[in-house]
Amino acid sequence: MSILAALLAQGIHIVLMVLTAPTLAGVLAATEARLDGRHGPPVLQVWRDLARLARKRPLLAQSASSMTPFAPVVRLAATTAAAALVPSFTLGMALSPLADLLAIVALLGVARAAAALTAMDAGTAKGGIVAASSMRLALFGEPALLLAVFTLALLAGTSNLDLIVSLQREGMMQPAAASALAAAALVAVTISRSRDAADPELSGGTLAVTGLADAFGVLVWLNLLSALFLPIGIAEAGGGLVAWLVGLAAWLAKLTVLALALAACRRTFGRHRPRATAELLAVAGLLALIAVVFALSSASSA
Amino acid sequence: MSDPILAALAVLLVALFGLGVLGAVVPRIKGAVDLGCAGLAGFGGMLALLALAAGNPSTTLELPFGPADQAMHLALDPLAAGLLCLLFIAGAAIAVIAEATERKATTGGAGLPISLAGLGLAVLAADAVTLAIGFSVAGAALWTCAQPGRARTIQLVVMLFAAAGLFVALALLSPSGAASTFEAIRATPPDPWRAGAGFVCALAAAGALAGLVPLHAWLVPAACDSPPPATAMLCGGVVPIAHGILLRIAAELTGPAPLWWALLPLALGAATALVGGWQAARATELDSAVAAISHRQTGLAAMALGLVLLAKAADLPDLAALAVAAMLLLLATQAVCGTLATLAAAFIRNGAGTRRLDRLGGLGHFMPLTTIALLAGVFGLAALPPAAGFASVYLLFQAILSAPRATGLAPSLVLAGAALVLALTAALSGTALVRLVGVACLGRPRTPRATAAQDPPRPVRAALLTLAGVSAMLGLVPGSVLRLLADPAIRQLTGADLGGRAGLLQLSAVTDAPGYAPLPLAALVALCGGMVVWLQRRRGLPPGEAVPAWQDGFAPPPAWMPFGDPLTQATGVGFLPDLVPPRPLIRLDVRRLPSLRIARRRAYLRHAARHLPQQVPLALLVLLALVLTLLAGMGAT
Repeated sequence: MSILAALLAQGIHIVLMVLTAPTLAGVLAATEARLDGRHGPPVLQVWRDLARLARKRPLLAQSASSMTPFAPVVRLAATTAAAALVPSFTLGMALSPLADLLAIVALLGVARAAAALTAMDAGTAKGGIVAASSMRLALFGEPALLLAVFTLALLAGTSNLDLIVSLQREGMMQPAAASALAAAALVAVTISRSRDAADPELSGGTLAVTGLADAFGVLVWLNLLSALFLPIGIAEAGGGLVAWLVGLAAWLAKLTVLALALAACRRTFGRHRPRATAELLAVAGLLALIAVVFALSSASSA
Repeated sequence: MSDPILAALAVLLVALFGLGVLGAVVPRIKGAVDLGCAGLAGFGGMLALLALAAGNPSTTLELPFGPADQAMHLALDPLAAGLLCLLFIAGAAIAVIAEATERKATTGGAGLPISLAGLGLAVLAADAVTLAIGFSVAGAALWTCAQPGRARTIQLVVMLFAAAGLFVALALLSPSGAASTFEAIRATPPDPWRAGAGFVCALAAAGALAGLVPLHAWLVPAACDSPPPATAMLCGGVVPIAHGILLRIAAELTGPAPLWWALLPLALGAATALVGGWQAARATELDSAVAAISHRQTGLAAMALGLVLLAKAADLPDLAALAVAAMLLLLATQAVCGTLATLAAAFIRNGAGTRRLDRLGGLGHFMPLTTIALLAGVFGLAALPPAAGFASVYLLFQAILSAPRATGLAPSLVLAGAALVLALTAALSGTALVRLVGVACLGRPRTPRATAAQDPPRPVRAALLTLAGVSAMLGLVPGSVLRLLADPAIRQLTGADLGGRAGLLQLSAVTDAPGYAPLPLAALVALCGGMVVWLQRRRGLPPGEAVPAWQDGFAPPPAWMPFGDPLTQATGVGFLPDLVPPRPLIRLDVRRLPSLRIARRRAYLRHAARHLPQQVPLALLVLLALVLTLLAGMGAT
């Protein structure tokens, strides 16, 4: 029975992710436009764009190799896999033994590398610049992220996401200061995750795949933040239907609040220049480093 | 069971040496010598596997030559068998490739078999003299392969220095008056001072051979100045073997280890990993970038050695087992993926006629298989799942997580620093992968010469693909590989084993706890990708139509530039942040003109001021490091 429930929970989670990702992108775009004082596109516009693009025959650059159709699929697959592993409304899903935080972060790294390789494939100036700047920013962002993950793993004694979330849910992650610092680092990384500059050489179905991967990326980040640092209402492993429903409602509420906050942050900081982003990420790295030191020295005195 | 295997391995080493001598005497038969070398290496690999599978404890063999009381000793134990297995797999692939590519060459036939024999002797050695002879023979053999020049001389000097250093280290460790055999050293552990001196000596010698900072400068030039087989032998053979021997001396022969021993390899390894990763992401030449990526792996292995010693000092055998597993997986990755990437880079260099990244490009169209091999090799070394590089970094992370925590800020800073270095080099490896493959193999060709590049002949392709398969296997089932190749050695060195922590499906820090599961993760990603492709195919759209690339509205390139303007294509600049402001372009000779000199200084200061805000994150990091070190020094907690 519990295996069936875990499978069912995983299935529901994946369907939820697929339904939510493009909608969330639409909500973000609409909210940002409203905060700008514009009317903005309808919330479901992202869905329409995806459907329209998926029907179009792609145009490929003559100089592109088979990397151009292949790498975006890898990127989407890695991001979707990460989305399937980060819990939303309940813990104890069927794939939860695979949900290692380090592996999830590294999967997002695979997605980034695939995106950068796609950008370089056509051999255009813009593509090269896009790839270089995204990898340069990753050099600041990824250590911050890994150190934050390291802090959480130190506090929880494991790097499995499900176990960390359930410990966090019971308030067992001590000291709270280290956890809060790690949270701040993750928030900074999330905010600085600007939409990637569009690669001019993608079109049709390939562009749809890339857009979907972008949408999934934002969803993974918000889900990670809500599961790790706001685990309120999330159902325990083996919880009943009522717990799932409560978890679902709580997750939707948290996602809405986080999405509005993210839109407000993007609006406040505006389109920051790469240099400002690098500084934000470096600060995130510092916060995460302090969090590690905090966690290590407190764990030893405890 | 193991005794005949050891005897067979000894005969095999002699046969390899004899083959090399034959190749030197009759240069015409170089092809046959290389083929024979591949066969012998393959056979040796199987013998080593057999010894591992038989699972016998170590056996020794006393050879009937040498000075009266200094007879040569060989020993086959699980660690030696695992290292030999790696060495011979890499050696067989390298020999096949040497046969196919250098068929017409009439020199250098002796180098490969003799260097294999020398390294094999060093692995099997059970006393100081044999170890030193093994490394000296390998060094001399590799010297004959390399192109004449300064790099080759320095390489020989380093190899001889390492041989001498290891001899001195073992002499220091051995009890006075007795022969410096491993058995004697194990029987009477040295007193702390001699043990410390011996450890430092061994670290300096093996560290120089493996390219640890500060003795790293020779490695990359030496790797770039040799023909492909010698380069691959250096990166995939010599470096992992040097580390393996260091692991044996530090974990088995020195007796109890005080805490400060752990700090040396941790610090040197961290510096090496950072230097290697950084060089890999900014090198302007293909083969030096590949050598630097492999060099980063060396640093990580030294960090793992530091963790082994830390666990030994704190008497935590489970942690020691985890760290040894991380180190052996790093060595295996370097032997397989490092060899593969080095060979692929060498073929690209030969095919496209240049090693400069800004003259390569678009090779994916002309050398598809070599491109795949390069991608597989560099991906295997990078910290991205499901590559073997990620599995080893994961194990290192877990080892740091479960490292003992002493009270006080200073020990916390050491572990936090190790985690920071690991995180930084993981990011650097991804950057290096994208930059290397993106600039060299994707995009448009930059020179007509590059368009004439072709994949190497069929046997070479087969060897490259086999290595790629092995590297994929290392990444997908690291648990099983560790159980087979490393678990006996781990038991020998630490007394604990991986047991339930390494299995077919997953790799974890604690038995029966969820960990990193590469095979299921890869299956999940493949399933998601398959769904996407299926959805795309279901619509029945025709494949994409090829059109000229959009150049941001600029005019199409002129007719005499059939591949477009090479200057409009990325050359791998800008993947790293600038650490120091670039110098302004004033090229006048102004030494004699004071006013111009002042003008130049002012121009530089203005330039630096403009670039200064970019340095803010770095400055913050350095500041924080200084403050934390100060606090740690004051004893604050």
